[in-house]
Amino acid sequence: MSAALLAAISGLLVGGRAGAALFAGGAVGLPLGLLVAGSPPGAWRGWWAGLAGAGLSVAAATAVVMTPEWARRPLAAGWPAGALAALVGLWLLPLVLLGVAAALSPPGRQAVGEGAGGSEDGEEDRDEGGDGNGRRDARR
Amino acid sequence: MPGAEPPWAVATALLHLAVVAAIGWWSRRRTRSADDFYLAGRRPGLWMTALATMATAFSGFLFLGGPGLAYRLGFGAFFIFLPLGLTPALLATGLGGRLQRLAAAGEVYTVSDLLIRRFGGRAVGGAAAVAVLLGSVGYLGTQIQALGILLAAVFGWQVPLGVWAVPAASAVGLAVVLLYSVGGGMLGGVVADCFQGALMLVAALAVFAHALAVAGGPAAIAAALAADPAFGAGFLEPLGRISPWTAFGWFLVFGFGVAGQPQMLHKFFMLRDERPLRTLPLVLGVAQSLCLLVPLGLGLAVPALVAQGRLAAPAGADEVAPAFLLAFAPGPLTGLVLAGAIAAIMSTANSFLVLAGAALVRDLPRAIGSEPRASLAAGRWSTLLVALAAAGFAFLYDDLVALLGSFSFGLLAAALAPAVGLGLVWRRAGAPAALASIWTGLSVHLLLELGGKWGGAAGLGAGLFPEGLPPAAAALVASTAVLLAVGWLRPEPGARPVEALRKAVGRPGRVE
Repeated sequence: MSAALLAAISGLLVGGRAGAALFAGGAVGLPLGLLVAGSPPGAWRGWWAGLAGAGLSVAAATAVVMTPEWARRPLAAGWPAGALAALVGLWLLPLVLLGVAAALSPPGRQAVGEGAGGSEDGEEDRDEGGDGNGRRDARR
Repeated sequence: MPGAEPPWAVATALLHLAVVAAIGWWSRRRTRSADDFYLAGRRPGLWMTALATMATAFSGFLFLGGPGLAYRLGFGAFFIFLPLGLTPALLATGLGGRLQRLAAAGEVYTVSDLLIRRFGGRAVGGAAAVAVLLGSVGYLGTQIQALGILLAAVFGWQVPLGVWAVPAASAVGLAVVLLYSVGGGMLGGVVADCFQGALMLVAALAVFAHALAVAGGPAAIAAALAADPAFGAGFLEPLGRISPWTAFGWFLVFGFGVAGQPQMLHKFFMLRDERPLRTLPLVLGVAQSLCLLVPLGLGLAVPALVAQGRLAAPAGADEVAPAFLLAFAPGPLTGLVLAGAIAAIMSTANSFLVLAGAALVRDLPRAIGSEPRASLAAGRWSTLLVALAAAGFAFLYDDLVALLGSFSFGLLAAALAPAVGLGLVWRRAGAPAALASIWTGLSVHLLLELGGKWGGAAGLGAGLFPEGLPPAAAALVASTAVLLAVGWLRPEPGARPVEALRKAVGRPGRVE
C-alpha cells in the first residue's frame, strides 16, 4: 500500500503524462493493496492465485488505458481496445477471479481474516479459529 | 423530468409504495430491541446481505444520473462504476471478517462504535460521527429531492400543484420511508432493501436488453457514434471526454473509498457469523454488476440513437433515461424502471436515516462526554428528527444540498476509508493516526469542494493539483498519507486497543 500511495503522490507532484500514469498505478494499487493487506494469510493457495490474476488483469488494463495509441485501436465490433480492456480488465475479470477464488476457499481459513504478509515481529501467522470470546468457529 | 406514461407509471409507483409500507408495518411489530433496530436482529444471511448492500450502494444516480453522465462524458464516465470489480472482495474478504467479529464481540452499531472499539478513546468516534452526519445529510437531502421530483412526475402533480408539487411528492415518499425506517429501523430497511434490490435487478436487466435491441446492438452503437461529429470515435475510447486524472481519481475514490461508506460497512455488523463472507464477493459483485447495466445500456444507446437521428438530443443530462423510456419503452418497462429508480432512492435514504440518527443520539453525545442513548425509542425518535431536518434543509438550502449530495460519497471516503480500512489491518495505526487522518480527509475535502464552489471556477486546488483531479481523490490521498505517516511516527504496538482487537478479530499485519 505504501508503494501505491507513493506512486499516487509522485504522480500528483510530477504532473503531465508520466505523472498521470503514476497516479493511475497508485489509484488502482491502493484498493488492491488494502485487499492484499486484509486477506487471510496462508489461506488456500487458490485465493492467492485469484488475487494475483485479478492484480495482473487490473495492471494490464491500466497500462492499455494509459497508452492512447493502443487504446484507440478498434478491436471488436468497432469498439476501441482500451474500452474493452477497461471493461474486462478493471471490472469483469477481477470480479470473477476474486469471487470464484473466495467462494472456493475452504471454510474456516478465510474467516479468520488476519492481516496479510505475516506479523511485524516475524511470528508465523496462524489460524486461531474462534472469535476470541471463548467460542469456537462453528464451521470447524 | 417530463410526465411519465400515466397508467403503468402510476400503478407501479403506487404498488411499490404499498409493498414497502406493508413491510414497514410488518417490521414494526418485530422490532423489539436496539439490536433489532440497528442491526436487524443480526438475522441477515448471504442473500439478504448481498441484496441489501447492493440496494443501499446505489442511489437514484444509477437510473437517472449515471446514464446522463455517460451521455455527457462518454466511456470515461464508467470509471465511477469500474471499481465494482474489486470492491465486493475488498469489503467481504478484506474487511468483512473483522467487521463482523468486532460487531459480534460487543455493542457495535455504528462506524463510530467500531473505531472506538478498535482505537479506544472518544475523540476518534466523535470525529467519525461528524463525518457520518455531514455525509448523511448530503445524501439524504439529495435523495429526498430526487424522490420528490420522480414522484411528482409520475403522479403528474406539476400542473395542479405548481411549485408545491415536488415538496408534496417528497413528503409522500418520505412518509413511506419513515414508516419502515422509524418503525422497523434496519430490520424493516433490510427486508425492504431485498424487495427493492430484486426490483432494481429486474429493471436493470430489462432496460439494458431493450436499449441494446433498440439501438441495434454494440456494433451499430459504435458505428453510429464514430460517424457523428457530435460524439466521434473518441466517445468510446476508454477515457471518453475526461482526463486520466478524473478517470483514475474516480477509480480511487469509488474503489478504495468504499472502506469508508457507513451504509455499506453497516451491513457487515448485521451478520450473525462469517459464513456468508465466502460467497458474498461473487453474489454481491454479480448483483452490483447487473445494476451497472443501466448506465452502460442507456448511457451508450441514447447517444447512438441521437446520432442515428431517431431521438432528439435530451435537454439535460437527467433527461437521458426519461427521454429513452418515453420514446422507445413499452408502458410496463417504463413503470418497472421508474419503480426501480424509486427503490434505489428509498433504500439509500433508509440506511442514512438510521445511521445519521444513531450519530445524533449515540455517537456525538458520547464524544462530548454525555451518556449515549442506545434504546429503541431513542433510535426511532432520532430517525424521525433527522428525516425532518434533512427534508427542511433540502428545500431551504437547495444549492448547499446539491453540493453536499455531489460530494457525500467522496467526503465519507476521504474521512473514513483510511481509518477504517487501514486501521483494521495495520497494527501500527493507533488513535492519533486515525484521528489525524479523519480530520485531514474532512478538512481537505471541504476546503477543496467549497473553494471550488464559492472560490471561483478554479477553486482552491488550482495550481496545486492537476486539472481534472476530483477533490475527493486529493483528500483521500492526503488522509491516507497522514494515517501512514502518523502510524509510522507514533505507532501503538501492544497498546490495549490493538490487543483487544487481536483477541476479537485476529492480529492485524503489515501494510507494506
